[in-house]
Amino acid sequence: MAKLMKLLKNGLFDENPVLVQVLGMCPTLAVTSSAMNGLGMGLATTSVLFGSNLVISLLRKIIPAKVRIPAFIVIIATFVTIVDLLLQGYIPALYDALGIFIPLIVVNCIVLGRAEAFASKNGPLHAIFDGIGMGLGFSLALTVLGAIREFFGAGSIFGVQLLSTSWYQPITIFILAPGAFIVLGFMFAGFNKIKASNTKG
Amino acid sequence: MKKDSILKNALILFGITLTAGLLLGFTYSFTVDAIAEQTKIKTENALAAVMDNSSFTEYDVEGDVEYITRVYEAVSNNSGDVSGYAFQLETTEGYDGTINMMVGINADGTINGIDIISHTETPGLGAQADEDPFKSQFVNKSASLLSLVKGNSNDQNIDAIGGATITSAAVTNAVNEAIIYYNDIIKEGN
Repeated sequence: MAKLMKLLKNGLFDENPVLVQVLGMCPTLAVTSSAMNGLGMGLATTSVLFGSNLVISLLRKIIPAKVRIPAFIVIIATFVTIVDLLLQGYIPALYDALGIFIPLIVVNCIVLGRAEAFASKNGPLHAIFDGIGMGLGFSLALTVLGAIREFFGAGSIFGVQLLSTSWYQPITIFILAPGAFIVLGFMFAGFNKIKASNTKG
Repeated sequence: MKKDSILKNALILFGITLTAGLLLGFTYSFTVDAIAEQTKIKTENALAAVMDNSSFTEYDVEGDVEYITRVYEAVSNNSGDVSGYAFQLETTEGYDGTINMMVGINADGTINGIDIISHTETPGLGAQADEDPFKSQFVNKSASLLSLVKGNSNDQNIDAIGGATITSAAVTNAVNEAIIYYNDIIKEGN
């Protein structure tokens, strides 16, 4: 049990896929123009990680080493397409917001990275927790990034207007592409600072 | 020995892709109705938003059009007369991706309203095209060409969204095509 909790914490903080491993930069920078988009992308990726890690872990003794990469990609792409179809049919509001980004989960290196580095070497239970941990870590980073950008760029968080536009002129650059790089840079710096002071203490 | 392992690898990969294919086929057949239903609801909501209390009949699009994908004739549920026309438009001239929208023009030659069905414009900027200060400008404008300006929405002017001129222009251009279609094809035909 302690091992499982450690796997969750590992994904969320110690080896956060965005802030420590610097993986999955394409969706991280592209979709986080609002907190809701970040959270939605994060949770969609988490469900794919959960499914792909489980299946790849179960099949780890069957999949031959030589053809493991195509096998992983087929499994991941299948899960992404299933998530895509389900969102389109049953949660259209989220599908509208994420639109073209869902197919990008296939080439999100976090998913393939966890398949290769963890799920193909560990049992299904551990693989599931690794998938959830990494997924939540990804969601957390994307939601925080989206919230900061939305707050400065539109004066709102999760669509709730916090700064009235009657006196606050939104800093538009934050919700455009350069804003993603600027905020992410500050997040890296802040996260490293916290990690450094934790290690000393 | 080596041949065997190639064959074995290929067979396992084949098994995995076959299972994946079957799973996808199953999910598709399971969701296809729900997806069609969602698309239908979205179109119906947009039609109701641009032309209230009417029933719609779809017509074939005539002539050379760039943005118009569907034309509907609206019949009022109260009087039974033709109350106007609705145009479904698609433009890729926005900032990002396709803007799918609906425009309603009354039989008396005024715009009844516009609605954005789907878009991927920048949240906070171009996405304001789907909000009321922008959309409501089109209401009651007469159906002759609109021009995009900055700062006022008098007469046939549409006030561009600050920081989203490209999106505003894409929407206005598409609405203009519906206006031309209304004047040249529908009105002339009658």
